[in-house]
Amino acid sequence: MPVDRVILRLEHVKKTYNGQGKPLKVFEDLNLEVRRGEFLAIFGPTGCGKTTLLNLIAGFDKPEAGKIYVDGQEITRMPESRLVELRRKKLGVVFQTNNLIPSMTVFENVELPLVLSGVGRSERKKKVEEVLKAFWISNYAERKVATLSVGECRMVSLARAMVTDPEIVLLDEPTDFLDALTVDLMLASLKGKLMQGKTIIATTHRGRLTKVAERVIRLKKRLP
Amino acid sequence: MGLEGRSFGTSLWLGLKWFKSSWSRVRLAFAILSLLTANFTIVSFTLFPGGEILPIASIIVIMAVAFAAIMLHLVKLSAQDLGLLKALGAKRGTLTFAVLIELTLLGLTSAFLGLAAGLLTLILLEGLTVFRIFILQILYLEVASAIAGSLTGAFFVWRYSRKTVAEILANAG
Repeated sequence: MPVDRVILRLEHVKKTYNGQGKPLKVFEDLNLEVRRGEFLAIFGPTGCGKTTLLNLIAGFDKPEAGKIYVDGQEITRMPESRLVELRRKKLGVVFQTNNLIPSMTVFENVELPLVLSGVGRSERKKKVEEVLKAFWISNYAERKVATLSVGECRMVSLARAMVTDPEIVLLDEPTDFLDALTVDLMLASLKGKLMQGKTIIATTHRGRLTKVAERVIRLKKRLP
Repeated sequence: MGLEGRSFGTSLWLGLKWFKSSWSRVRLAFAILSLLTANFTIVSFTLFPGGEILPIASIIVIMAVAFAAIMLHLVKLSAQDLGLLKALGAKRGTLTFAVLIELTLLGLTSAFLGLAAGLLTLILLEGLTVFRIFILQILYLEVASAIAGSLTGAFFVWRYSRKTVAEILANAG
């Protein structure tokens, strides 16, 4: 695959956790390439390392060995300050749970990445309103997130991930705990205008998301 | 820490937002710190009207430790928020300074409320004579205790935010 078409590359990645006295190998020699603009689903049972993989890609966690390149930049040995800049500019992340700050409103939660990037108030307002509208949550703008349902929170998280217009969007089990209607809404959002041209990497242990993805990779759970 | 102007603005925004919006989290701390300060004021005035330094100093140490413990507890409660903010691109300096602003505001507000409550109680009991004794010293010491507590909380955040996002979020449960 031509280098400029690859936005993400993992080379010989090894990751181990210390689980109950003995090391738990999650990845021994993981290699992966993701094309720019691709929608990749990572499918597998709970505990197979899907979230770990997203954490490694986002630089939230470090591998013991191997290299991870995000848009040509090696992140495994990158200083924290540069990693922070990279996250701000290139990555949007939706966590599986505990995604939002409950004491803040929907608007403030979505606004956060822009505040952290030093964007001015009027521009922030414009961008947040735009993204709230795109994800059909404009009506909730002034509500505290503690009053929202799981599905609504997930849409707010997606809006927050997209507000900085990142090139790569990482979604950890975006359809988990959602009813069928909200899953439809979420999947429609992932195919929406704001997501056009974005590289989407989503983990799932359900089949529906894999049907809308362009490519699916399957992770197997290691037996202890 | 590298606090350029933009980061300072971000810290201020976050610190004020936390202070303003996390009322449910801090109201108990407000009450405890204010009560503590009120007690400290009353004890200082009634037991040591002459201003004996040693007993007062020991009370100050106790008070500073109590402030620090409460601040530390508050910071631990917001570990989830810290992990999330770091994941969204917050720098260590920005987070530390935001927490320092939040805790200093909390500490100072509580100290002033407590001092006012303590003085009011004394005035009701003793009359206006209390103002002849060392009120300014008491005020300085209470402010110093509040700031010491805030610095403890902020130092914890500074050290804690060295961890990876995955570790912070896993520890925060």
